[in-house]
Amino acid sequence: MEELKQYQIALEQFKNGDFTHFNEFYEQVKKPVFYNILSLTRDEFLAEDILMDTFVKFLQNINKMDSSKSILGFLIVTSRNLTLDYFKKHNRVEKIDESQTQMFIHNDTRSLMKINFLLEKIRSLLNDEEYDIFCLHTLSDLTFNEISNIKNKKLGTVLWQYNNAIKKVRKEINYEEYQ
Amino acid sequence: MKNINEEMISDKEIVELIDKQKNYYIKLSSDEILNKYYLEQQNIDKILVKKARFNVWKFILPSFACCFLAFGITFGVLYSMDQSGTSSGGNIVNVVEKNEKYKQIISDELLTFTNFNNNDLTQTNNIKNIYNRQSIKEKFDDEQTLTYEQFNEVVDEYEKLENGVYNIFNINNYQIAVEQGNYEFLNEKFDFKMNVFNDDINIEYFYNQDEVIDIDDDEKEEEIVLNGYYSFTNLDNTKTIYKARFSNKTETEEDEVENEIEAVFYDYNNDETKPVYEIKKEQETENLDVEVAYSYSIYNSIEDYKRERVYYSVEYEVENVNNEKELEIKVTNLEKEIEFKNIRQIDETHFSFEFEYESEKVESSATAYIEYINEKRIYTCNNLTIEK
Repeated sequence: MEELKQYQIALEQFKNGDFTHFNEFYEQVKKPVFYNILSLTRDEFLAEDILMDTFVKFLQNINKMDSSKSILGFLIVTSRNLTLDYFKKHNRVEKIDESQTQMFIHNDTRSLMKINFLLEKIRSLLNDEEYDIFCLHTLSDLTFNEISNIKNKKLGTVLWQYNNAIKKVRKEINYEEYQ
Repeated sequence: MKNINEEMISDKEIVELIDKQKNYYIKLSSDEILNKYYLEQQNIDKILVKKARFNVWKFILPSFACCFLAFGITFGVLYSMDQSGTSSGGNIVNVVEKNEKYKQIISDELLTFTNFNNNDLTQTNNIKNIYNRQSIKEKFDDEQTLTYEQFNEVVDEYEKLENGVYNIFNINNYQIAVEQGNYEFLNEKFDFKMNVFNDDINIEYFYNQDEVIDIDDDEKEEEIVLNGYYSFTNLDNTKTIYKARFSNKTETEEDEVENEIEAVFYDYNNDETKPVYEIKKEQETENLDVEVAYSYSIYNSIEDYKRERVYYSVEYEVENVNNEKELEIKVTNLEKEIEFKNIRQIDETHFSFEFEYESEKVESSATAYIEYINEKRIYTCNNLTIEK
């Protein structure tokens, strides 16, 4: 609740052209947005590019935003739309190729490599909706209420799909393997 | 024996596992975002200033003279681009006289467009009414059963195009000049003025232009957008004014050049209830071969234009066959489809064309002839004669 208030105050400041606290705001929300993009792109560089575009678009639309609505929700939806636009434009199929994997290793971003492998595995287990909801909750830290708003689904449906996802993941993922 | 649940990862562990992996260091900083935002904002502000000046999305188009201008502008630009890579600022460029290659192209296109609105400028305002006539309902099987009423409807459709068709075959004498300067028209400032003229026609176009050039390794893409006012001087010296927007995209790849030209005319007072006219031309040039396709569409309102709800459209092609021009025109509106094929000028006063007519209940094809006698046109088909 306190966080929500802070976002709302920040939003009003941004609307007035005061970006003094933009850095704090960004630091608070960048991770969920970034991981949301990463869950779709599984490419850190592309994810950062889209992260940039997401926040620029957020700032450009700041005056149209309703302070009572979820700012994180807006960022998540925007980032997903921009990612999908990117895919459409580049006719890209979601996958990680070997060169990317090598690149991760050379860059010593092993955690990213692990999460990508983990996401790849989870992606193969779940259907699109389940994967979406799973990532929004676990990666982007959205509450089920927020997810139900973003996806325009009933809370019960979101919970049911998340539980289905968790059941499938539990059966197939070995905790030790990804530690 | 271990319980199966003990082997499985728990819900909590799944979330924990994911959380543990979420330690990637995001390099993008808030300063970088703000810098990009400021930069884009500056660009948007520039565009908004231009939009406020031209209101480019409120397109509505005019009559015959507009079409004339459309080609004038388009080819003026093409020519200028061809010569210097930019607009021809500073000098008067007589495109037609300077470059024979363009003479034919310009005259063909100028005059092909000339007539989808007829000679009478006031007719533009009646567009909505023109096409509200009841379509032919009776069925006939072949040209022998073509009735007078049915042929009359075909002739009526042809009449809407007649002036332009005639001009394509008979008028070549006009000039195009492009000048750069500080022009003011309707309290707006413009960098360029184009003049399309001959003894009977005087069209001015005041405009500003934007140009974007994108060069890849083996492909060059250029886009020029012109925004401004079109002004046509009528016989009684009054002016007919429209806002007009032209965009010309050129893609060059080795020996192949593709041009896409779009012209949209709209009411200069931005009346959204007036029709929008859109002219498109695609030209593909490979070595010495040139293929050109045109389309001309009318929308009843700005809203229809935005939603791409075409009310009336014409597609046409001009070909030179054995040094003779041959024209094909396809007309489509909500009720029917008519194709005029092999439109040819037989001699000074005679034309022929084949038509294929298709409406809700009628399909027919036949050949018709036109004879020009004084100010009249006599249409004949089989034993039917209609005078206009």
